[in-house]
Amino acid sequence: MDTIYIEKEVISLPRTQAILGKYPNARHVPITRYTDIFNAPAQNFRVQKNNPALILAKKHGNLVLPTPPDYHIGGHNNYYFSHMLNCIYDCRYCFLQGMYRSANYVVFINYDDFFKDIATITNNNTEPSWFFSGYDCDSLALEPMTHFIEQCLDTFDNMPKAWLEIRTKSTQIRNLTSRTPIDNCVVAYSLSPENIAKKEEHKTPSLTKRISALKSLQDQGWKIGLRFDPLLKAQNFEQLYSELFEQVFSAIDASLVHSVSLGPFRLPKPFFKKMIRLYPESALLSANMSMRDNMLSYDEKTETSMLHFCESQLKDHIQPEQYFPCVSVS
Amino acid sequence: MPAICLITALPSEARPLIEHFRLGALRHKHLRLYQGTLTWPCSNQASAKPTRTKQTNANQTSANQISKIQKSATSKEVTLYLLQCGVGKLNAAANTGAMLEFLPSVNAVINLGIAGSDRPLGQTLIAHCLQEKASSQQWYPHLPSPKHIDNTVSVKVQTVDTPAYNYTDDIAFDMEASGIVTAAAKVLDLAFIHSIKVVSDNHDSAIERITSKSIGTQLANCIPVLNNLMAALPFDTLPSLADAEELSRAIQSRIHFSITEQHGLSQLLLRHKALLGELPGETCLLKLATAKSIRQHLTGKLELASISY
Repeated sequence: MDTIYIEKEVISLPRTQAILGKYPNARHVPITRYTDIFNAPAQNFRVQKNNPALILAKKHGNLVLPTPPDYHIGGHNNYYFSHMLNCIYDCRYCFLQGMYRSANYVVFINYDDFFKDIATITNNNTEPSWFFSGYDCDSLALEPMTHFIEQCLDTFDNMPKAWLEIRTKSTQIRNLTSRTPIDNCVVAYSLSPENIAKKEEHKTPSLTKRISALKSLQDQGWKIGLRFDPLLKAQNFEQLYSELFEQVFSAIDASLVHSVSLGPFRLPKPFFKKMIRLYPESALLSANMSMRDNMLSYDEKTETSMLHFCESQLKDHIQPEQYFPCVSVS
Repeated sequence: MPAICLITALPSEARPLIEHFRLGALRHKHLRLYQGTLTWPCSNQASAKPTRTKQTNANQTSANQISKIQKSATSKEVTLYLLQCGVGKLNAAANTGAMLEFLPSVNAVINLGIAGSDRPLGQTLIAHCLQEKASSQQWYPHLPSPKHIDNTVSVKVQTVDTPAYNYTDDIAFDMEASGIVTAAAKVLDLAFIHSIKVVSDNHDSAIERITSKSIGTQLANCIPVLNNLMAALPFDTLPSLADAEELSRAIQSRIHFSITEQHGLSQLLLRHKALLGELPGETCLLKLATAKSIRQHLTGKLELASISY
């Protein structure tokens, strides 16, 4: 991290100082609000992605929000939160490229305010509440720097009515494996066929490493989830995905998997237009797409056939109650 | 080829740069412009350093040293312009806007000039924030790594309408930077708009003591930082559109395209290159004779294209 922008409001907090201490050679720039720099005009996501800066800020309001209606893994009360904006990985299909002008990482330092809101929502609901982490970022990728999930788990450990999904591609699992698993937490990995991961998921751990992390977590007693999301069209789609399922289910105990979901590749049109302008050389983004329900996606026939193929393959490995056909943006 | 425009306010600020980079006058009715060409070590900033290790004083930096850089095995050419915009933010904004209209190929601007700050005279600073004092509007240039620009100290550059004397060490007062960024940010992104300042006045040395000669010496001293900043500009991260644009122009010179069709053609050519690995043949497209038939031909090919991983 070469440049760190720090909101004056959080500059003296011990958590801020601890993060700053990890980057002794970084340039420090004091700012008033993170919005002064993050997503301001005249910024280019692709250029910033090459050398992103870190922004340490305080999140005011809207810390925990309801998920879109289809976004769930069996619960009725579903919420998401992002202690961080943007991701260290560079997946060519990621909607963050279209949502933000800026590729800098924002870390919200006021973790306790997130935990307070989570507790309030949990107490206000009679049924269990689900909280999804990793919507606007990867939950674990910067964990060695933020320690957010470590502290989040302490909170959830004391709230049996609250469930946490940690969504990630990262193998930074030391803060999980070094503690006793908690029952109300699912560590869910986004998985793609190895060749797709190599070509489209830049800077991510390889499929093999992700499966290995899944196995370690499962062996230790953590509930794990599998997210085959997004499904990407390819001439050799069936071969790629059948190999993927084989690789995954030969390494882990499928009967102990908490949940499996599939996600078709869908993007809001304005996001897609920005992304293709940023990466005109991307074959993935140049493929034929069509508009449906205000989203750009593969044509309905192709998408249905991709989903059906994967569902039929998954049936060989998991029980119907483990499967959640999650339809969400990429 | 990337094009960078250096912008200074005063002739005494421009002079050392014109001499150092051997720039020649570029005729324009209203603008004071200069032009030259540089060759830079390519994309690896670290490799730029050995060629400059003996460059302890920019006054000694000669054309020989530039030619050493030019002889580097891996190199990229940069067109270098210099605009002398005059004093004050309005002059700066108006002239920068006019320059960018006149030179649309410019894809980076770097403002260089003197500034007041509570720092040692002659210290080179780079702006991490550009602020117009009157409106409090501010911009944050996306800076390269400190190690690529000799760990140059970064400060807020605050543009004032009249000289300021309340010096602090985290602010440098100037009179043009906000005008330049106001105009430049309309067409360039903030990774390509920078401001380098040299301390010309502070608590110990009043603004009245600034002379033409001292400005020349101070600006010459910031040339090593300027060289490193120019080499670190992230031109390589931008998508390469030149060949598709060239083909598009070649087709449009022979066949009429409406504005909408021109956009459509550009998108189809880029998709063709992304999906099929190359641009379509110009001769083949020109045989089709109309914009509509070219669109249909390319769309048909792209519908059949598929990706294999």
